[in-house]
Parts: sequence; structure tokens; C-alpha cells
Amino acid sequence: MTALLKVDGLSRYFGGLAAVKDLSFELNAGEIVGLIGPNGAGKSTAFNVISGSLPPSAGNIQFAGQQIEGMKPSQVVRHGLARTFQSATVYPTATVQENLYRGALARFDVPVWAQIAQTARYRNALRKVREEVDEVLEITGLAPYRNEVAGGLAYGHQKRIGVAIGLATRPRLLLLDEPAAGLNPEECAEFGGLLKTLRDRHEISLLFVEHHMALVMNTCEKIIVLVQGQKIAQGTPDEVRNNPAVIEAYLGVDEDAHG
Amino acid sequence: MDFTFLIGQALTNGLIIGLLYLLMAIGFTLVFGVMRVVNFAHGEFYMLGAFVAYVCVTRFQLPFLVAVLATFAVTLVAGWLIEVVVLKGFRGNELNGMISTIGLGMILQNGALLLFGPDPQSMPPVAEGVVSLGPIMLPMSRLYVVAFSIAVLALLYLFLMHSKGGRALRAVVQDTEIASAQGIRSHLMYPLGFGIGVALAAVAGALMAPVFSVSPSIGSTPLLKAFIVVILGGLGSIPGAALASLLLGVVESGANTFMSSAMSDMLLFGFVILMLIFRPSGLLGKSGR
Amino acid sequence: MHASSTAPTMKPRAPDPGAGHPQAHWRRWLPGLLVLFALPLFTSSPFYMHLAVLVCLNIILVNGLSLLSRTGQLSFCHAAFMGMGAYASVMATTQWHAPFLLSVALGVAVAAAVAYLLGSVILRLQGVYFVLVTFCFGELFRLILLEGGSHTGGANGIANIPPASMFGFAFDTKTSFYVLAAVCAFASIVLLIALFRTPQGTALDSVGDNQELAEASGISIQRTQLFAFVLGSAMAGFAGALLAHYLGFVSPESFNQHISVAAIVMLVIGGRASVLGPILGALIMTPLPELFRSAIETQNILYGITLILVLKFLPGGLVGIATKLRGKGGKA
Repeated sequence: MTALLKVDGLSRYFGGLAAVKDLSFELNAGEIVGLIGPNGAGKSTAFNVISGSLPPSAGNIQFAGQQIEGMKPSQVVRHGLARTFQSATVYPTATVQENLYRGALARFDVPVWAQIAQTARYRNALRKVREEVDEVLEITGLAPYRNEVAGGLAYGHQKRIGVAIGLATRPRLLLLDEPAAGLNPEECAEFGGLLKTLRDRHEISLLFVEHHMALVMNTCEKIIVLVQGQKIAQGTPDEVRNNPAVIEAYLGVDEDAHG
Repeated sequence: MDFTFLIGQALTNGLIIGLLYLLMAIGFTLVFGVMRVVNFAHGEFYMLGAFVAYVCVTRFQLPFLVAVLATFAVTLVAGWLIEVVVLKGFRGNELNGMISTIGLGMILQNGALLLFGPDPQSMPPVAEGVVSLGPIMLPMSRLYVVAFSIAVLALLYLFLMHSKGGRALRAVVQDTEIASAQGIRSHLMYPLGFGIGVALAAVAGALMAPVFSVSPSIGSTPLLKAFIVVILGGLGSIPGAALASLLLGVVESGANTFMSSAMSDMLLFGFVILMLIFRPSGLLGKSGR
Repeated sequence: MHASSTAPTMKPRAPDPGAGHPQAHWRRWLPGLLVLFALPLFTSSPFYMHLAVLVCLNIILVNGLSLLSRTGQLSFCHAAFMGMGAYASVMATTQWHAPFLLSVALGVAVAAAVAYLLGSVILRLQGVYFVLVTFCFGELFRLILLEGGSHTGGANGIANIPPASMFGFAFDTKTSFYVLAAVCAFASIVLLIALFRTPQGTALDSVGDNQELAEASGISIQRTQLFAFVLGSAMAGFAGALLAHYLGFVSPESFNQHISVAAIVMLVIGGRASVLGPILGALIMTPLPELFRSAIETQNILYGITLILVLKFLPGGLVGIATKLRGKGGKA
């Protein structure tokens, strides 16, 4: 089975500094993969390059059979790879429902003139979008807040909206950048359950960066460890937990549960 | 006609006008570098400076040097007050700050129209006669402009390099975040940067007042030139502005020798647009923020 | 590295949560607007009719400007596209004796085509850099008109432009042209209302509200802004073509920086986030210079002060007053 995401020899330099160096890994459909490493290890840079926010300095990225390196983020999303952001980012003046609606428009394919003319094809496509938005509202538990203005909600909810917007783009693979940051242990456990539901019931593969070790160990099948831009280990949670190189470089430091 | 003479004259004229562009551009860059605001009223401060000098000389009979100093002082204070009263609310909102400078420019220009009327006023020239450097003619009045410009620039250099306030200002221009992390206080830097920036424009206006005429509409061309210099030199780069203004002066002067000024302006704008598209960081500036 | 992916967006600060989207309330004001449009027909003063025509053309102009503004970019060469539409249509009418409708279509097409070419290259510049390049382009266009020799009439422009006419009927009276202008202005308003109810319109607001998020959730910043720039500039061209055939002459100074700035002022004072904003801005700011010709300097000073006050206390423009009064009410 070909991997859903295949990253090969990926590098990204800033001036002379290698933020990511020669990163290679594969993610298969249906996997939940964690990307961990100390601060400054290049995890967010790797995300930015994979999602298209930054062009790579070297290497290639294959997603669902397509070479996506160098594509703009909006293009990458239309191929089915979406990402969320570390700090809660929403459309502050729009309602939660509107926020998701804007995400769902990613794959909306009706030409502008047909939109204005309100053709049948347009109306059908729009109905589908609204149904998808409703579905995502349910999955993420945001349905009670659908008419609240996003900017006024608590940080934890805003983060969830961020994830929901990513889901609304109907991705095959969702990249999550520190989704648990700022969540208390209870919210964190809830979030882990959500991730598993997304994979089990909605066939969305997940790759996420996280400092919250408990969350990573409990939800991921595969963990990739990045230190100073380079992959130093990859394997199951047990393998990684017991890997001496990883312990020395990263886990040896007493990581408390709140990252 | 002697080619070397033409080039020589163009070069000299170009350097002279380049110094003026430099005064405008440094002030503009200072304002942008400190406040991240494109000051659409910058040309009107040039005009303000010209009028202050005009009033000092013709109504108060002050000597020219004193008039120039007074212009600097008055505009510095005015700029400080304007920043605190008007622009302070826009710190952090560059777009709205920029649009508010449009309003500011309208107020200044129409204020001048109300006070002085639209007709050009003339000031007595600072000096008469011409000095010749070989075949090249240098009007004395322009030489005065050169001398004063160089003096102002030298003082500015000393201030920016060797005084606490000046060094702080430079730090803010170079990197606002690092500067504030080092504890440089923005509530002093913003009005100082704006005040000095527009005072420099005013000095340029004062220096040129005896050479050209003084009227409320003289601000638009200097504004345009400041834009161009700052684009070519890199927004926020003072050395870039220095290089670009002298280059602009010389190139413009040379081009005007061989083609109409409208034609040379068109080529200039075309070049500037291309520059913005392919190299927005300018000749020396940092990459577009 | 593209400047567009890292530069901060220049959209005005979002209003406090709960402010809501005023555009959803067009049902409330559109009927009132129809009545307003009908009013000038009851006046016999050519002066007021003239003002009414100008208001309508400004509505079209500022509506066009608002499209790009909603995506977070501000164009300082909007008047240049108005000029392109004007000059292209006038050249067609006077030199090739083309029928009015065709000339206007040509004017719009020229403005749209140039906007497409220019926008493709400059829209990747964000914020300040975009402002500066459009400012320079505006100046460049004015110089091209000045130096256009016999094609553009140079500084004197082109005069003796035949009045607008359709199917044999000439709109050569102020009243008849007003009807034409009002219909066109109303059409531009309806177009915008319809547009902002569609996903394409939502994309415009998304890019303006949170550029990074929009791009990361599948909305192409480049394509969205280009769409807004082309459509907005085409509307400016349309307004220019109409203006030229109303006044009967065009000159480079009719389409200079002052006009671009005036459009921006109208937009900001009216309100940048709503379809009602350009209408209010045009309605309020167009008649004033004409009504107070004797005190134009004082008036301009008041404009400047109003602009600054609006920016400070009502960044959403006059439309923002209605929003504040209405209170909570998000857009579903």
C-alpha cells in the first residue's frame, strides 16, 4: 500500500541555518502520527513546508500520489491536506457556523457567475456544504455555539474552532500544530478521544506536533522524534519511549504534563 | 555641445537636488521606520517649512539661518504634538494611521490656503550670483542650500550615532520588537521619530523656499520624490535612502538634459514599479515586512 | 519567500465580538434607497440633478473600491481605472463612432484587462508596498494621458463627446442621464449584495478577516484578491465611461490622485465592511463640495478632521453607528 504522505529528504534553510534537515518519513492512510521534539527542533517549520506556507529548500513531498512541494497552501488544501495553527486562529467577527462555512468552501467548485445567478447546481452544492458544516459542528461538539461570534469565545473553544475549520475542508490528512497547548488534563483527554473518532469513524489521518507526552503516547501509533531539524528516531510509543537517543535528547528532561 | 560639460552640469545639479531629496527621504524613512506609517502628509510639512521660513524672513525680518533653525524647532514641536494628539491612537494599526495622515495633509494644505491664499509668494534670495567650477555654473543660492543641507545632515548623523535618543531611535527603526524588548520606551520614540522626521521635511522646504516660490501646493512633488527614494532605497533603511536619493537626483538631472521631464518621470515611475515588484527590499533595505 | 504569506494583513481591526455583520440587513435599507433614488426626479433644479448624477457615479466607483478593500488591500490608483474606462470609451465614441453601449463595454474591458495584468504582478505585495505601487501606477497613468499626444489630447483632454445613447434614444438631458446613472448605480449595489451572499463574496471577507487562515483553509489569497481587483477596477472603468459621456469632456486631471484619495475617503467614512458603506460615503461626501463652493478650504479641513475622527472612534465608518445601535447579531 502506498503511503498517503511521503516526505523525502526534506530540508529547509534560513540563511545558513538548517531548520529542517533531510527529513524523511511516511504516513499511511488511517494512521495517527505524532511529531515530537524539543522547542526549536523544526517541527513547526516542517509543518509549514509540508502544508505549503514555506517552500522547501530541498526534498520532495508526495501526498495521495501527487507531488505537492512548492504548492501554495490553498492548493494543498484542495488536494486534501489541511493544517491547524498553534495559537488559536479564527475569523473573529464571524459566528462559529460562519467560520466553518468558510473552511468548507475550500472545495467549492461552482464558477462565480453561476453563484450569482443561483443555478440549481450552485444551490445543490451549497446545501451539501451546509450539511457538512452541521456534521463538523456535531463531531467537534461545537453545535451549541454555532451562532456565537468566534472572537468572543474562550481560548479552548477557539482552538476547537480552528480544528473544526480544518475538518470542514474535508481533508484526508489533517496536520495539527500543538492542538493541546493551553488545555487542562480533562480537555486534553477529551481531545484525544476526538482524534481517535476522527480516524475511526471519519477516515481522517492525523499528524500532529505536540509537547503533551501523555496525549501523544496514548493516541499515536507512530511517533517521529525531531531534534535540531533532524529525525533521530521513529517508531511506536514504546519503542520511542525506550530509545536511548530520544531519552537523552528529549525525554530525559522531566516533561510535565502541561507541555 | 560639449558632452562632458553637459554630464558635469547634470551631475552637479543632480547632487544638489539629491541632497534635498535626501532630507525628505530620511525624514520619511524615520517616520516609517519608527511608526510603520506611510506619512501621506510629509509633503505638506515641506510646504509648512517653506511658509515658516517665508514668514520669518519677510514678516519678522529674521536672517535666513535663524529662519531655518526656527523652522526646525517649530515643526519638531508641532510634529511631536500631532503624534501625541492625533496619531497615538493608531499605534499598531498601520493602515488606519496611514489614512489619517491623508486627513492630516488635507488639514495642513487647506489651512495654508486659508491663511495665505493660493498664489505663489516669493522670498528674497539668500545670495546672488554664480560660482563657476571650470565650465560648470553653480548658483550661489543653490550652494547655500547645499551647505545648509550638509550641515543638517551632519548634525542628524551625530544625533543618530552618538546620542542616547538617537541611538534608541535607530534601534527602533532597525527592529521594533527587539528595541522594545530592550526597554526603549515607545511613548517617547514615536513622537520623537515623527517630530524629527517631519522637521527634516520642513527644513528641506525652508531651504528651497528662496529658490522656488512658496505656495500651498508645493508639497505634492516632494512627497512623490520621497516615496520614490524610499522605495528604491528600501523602506526603513536610512543608508538606502541616502544612496537612492543621490542616485535619483543625478539620474533625473541627466535624463532631463536629454528628454522632457514628463518622459523622464514616466520612465522613473515605470522603473520604480518594476523595482517594487522584483525587489521590494530596495537597493539596501531589509526584506519587505 | 512571498511577502504575502508573512506580512500582517492591513484590514482594519475587527470590531468588538458581537458587532455582527451589517450587510445581512440589506433588506431593511434597500427599499428606502429606492425611494431616495426616486427623489431627484421631483426636482426641477438642474443643479440638484447634477449632484444626483455625481452621487450615482460615485456609488459605482466606491462600490468597486470596496471590493479590494474587503480583502485587506487598499488601492491608490482607483481613479486611473476610472480614467481608462473613460478614455477608452471616449476614443471609441469620438474616433471610431462606435455606439455608446459598445464603447462602454470597451472601456470596462480595457480597465478589467489592465487590472488583471497589473494585479497578477503586484497583488503579491501586501500592505504598504501595495499602496505605494498603486500610488506610483496612478501617477504613471496620469503622465501617459498627458503625453499621449493626439490620442489622448494631452493636457487639454478630449472634448465634444457625444452624449450617451441607446437604441436611438439620447440621454442628453440631466434628467434622462440621471435615470440611466441611477439604474446603473442600483445595479452595482444589487451586484454587490448578490456577490456577498455567495461563497466567492465570503472568500473576499475571509481573506480580509484573517489572511493566513483563509489561505490555510483552501481560499487562495492571490486569486481572491485578483478577482476583487479586476471586478472593482472594471466598475471604476464603467463609472468613468458614464462620466465621460455625461460631462462631454475628459482630461487627465479628472482622474488623478485627488480622485483616488476622494474615493478612499468616501469609503472609509461610509464604512469599509458593508455594502451600505460606499452608498453612505458617496451620498454624504459628493454634494458637499458643490454646495459649499465658496468655503472649500474650510470644508476640506473639516473633511480631514472628520476622516481622522472616524478612523479613531468609528473605524467601521458611519455604517458602524448602525451596528453599534443594533448590538449583538452575528452573520449566520
